[in-house]
Amino acid sequence: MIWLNVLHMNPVWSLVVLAAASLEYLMPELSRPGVAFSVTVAPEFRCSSRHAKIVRYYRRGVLLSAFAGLVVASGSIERLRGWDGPAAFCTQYVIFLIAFLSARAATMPYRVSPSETREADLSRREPPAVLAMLVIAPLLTMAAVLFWTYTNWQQIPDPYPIHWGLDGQPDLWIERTPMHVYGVLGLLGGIAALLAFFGYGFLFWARRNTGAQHTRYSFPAVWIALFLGAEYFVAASATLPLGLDIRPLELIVLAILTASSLYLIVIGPAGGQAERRPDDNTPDEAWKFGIFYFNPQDAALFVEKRFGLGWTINFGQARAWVLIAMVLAPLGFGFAFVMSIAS
Amino acid sequence: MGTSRKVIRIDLGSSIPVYRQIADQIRAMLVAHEFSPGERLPTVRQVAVDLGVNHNTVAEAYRNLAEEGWLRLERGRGALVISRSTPTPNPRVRNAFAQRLRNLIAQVRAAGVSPQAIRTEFEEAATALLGREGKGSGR
Repeated sequence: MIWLNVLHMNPVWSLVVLAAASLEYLMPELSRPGVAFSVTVAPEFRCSSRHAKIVRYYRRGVLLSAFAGLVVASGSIERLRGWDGPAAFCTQYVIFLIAFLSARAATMPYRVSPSETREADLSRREPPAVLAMLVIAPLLTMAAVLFWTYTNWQQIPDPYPIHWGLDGQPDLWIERTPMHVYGVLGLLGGIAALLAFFGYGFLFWARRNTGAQHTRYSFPAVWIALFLGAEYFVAASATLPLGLDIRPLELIVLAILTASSLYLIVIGPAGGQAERRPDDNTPDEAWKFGIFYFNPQDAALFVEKRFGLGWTINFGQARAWVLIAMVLAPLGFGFAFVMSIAS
Repeated sequence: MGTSRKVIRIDLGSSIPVYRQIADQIRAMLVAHEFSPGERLPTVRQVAVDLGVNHNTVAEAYRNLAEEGWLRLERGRGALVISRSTPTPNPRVRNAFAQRLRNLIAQVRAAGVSPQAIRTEFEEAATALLGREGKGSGR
């Protein structure tokens, strides 16, 4: 029998499921005023009883998704033992997706044509090159750590800790073998490259604000800072072979990341800066399933999400696929490595 | 001059091709001396990203302006505004302008815009683009 076994619940994945569902629950309120479930609507539609009813049904679906995710995370399904966490996450996401697509279909009849007027400020200059260096610096640091590891192999403790528990004591160690040491570095390098790719893309390959009031919309700047913070966090973790105690630094970065995440929700798309938010200048037809942006005619590689916080990639650009493959390949090897350690 | 905002607006629903809308507006800025020789326009990629259009559309607009002698295109660095000597007046160009202007005035008058509003718009456009240039010099 399937039931919710709270005592055997996977705590990390349960938190992930709850966090995802909470954000999805709030998402209708966090969307920009002229958009509902990724569909362009008249702003007054968002105040109508019809919209309220659609949101109600959507939220029931999200609550169901959270419950189903927690059931899977509790290990109640025998066949999924060992894969409870990822299966819980997938279960939650699939049910959320069904709820979202149903709400989107119900919103479609109220769709209006988005504005076809676009603006560009020719007096605005590209972000300074020093910002590009800020994005690349952690990757260079990691390359330096890799070089140090290669040239000072004997100085690395054997085994050495790679994870600490809440009590501050190491709880995961790895042997000093090339596969383990370079595997961890490769995994962290892949994650840092992914974050750097997004950080650089938000800076140089995404639309900039044009209108006078829009330049005071600080959401993009905080979002970029968040990605940079995460990248530095990962790069700091890569210095483990050097035997440095980076935990205080990581705690500080983690606190900053948490604070800026909350700040993003407060000021975000529908928050305190909603009136400063520029139009996303994307046609409705380009939003496949309301989530994936596919527009070969748009030169932007990143565009602001219609449903959700932050930016998404323009899958209509060939270079997007090349870049994704370049970044995902090392990540894939990294995860294969982690699985080999776990087994 | 270099610090004020220089915004171009395009309408994707207009019957005028987007590359022409871009070229027309940048040319208007150049005529009004909003950009000085030596100043740089943003790269094709940046303008295309900001407008949400294809690179080729903006590249075509820049190419047109380069052919007219307003810009020098520099790969990857945008376009440099260059000093352009005013060409010798051509009677055909002037006649074509007069014809287009008449057609335009007739078109907006037929659409209901008042003669006073047409005069005001005409004066404002001329002042914005030409300033005091050539004032009182007659034909």
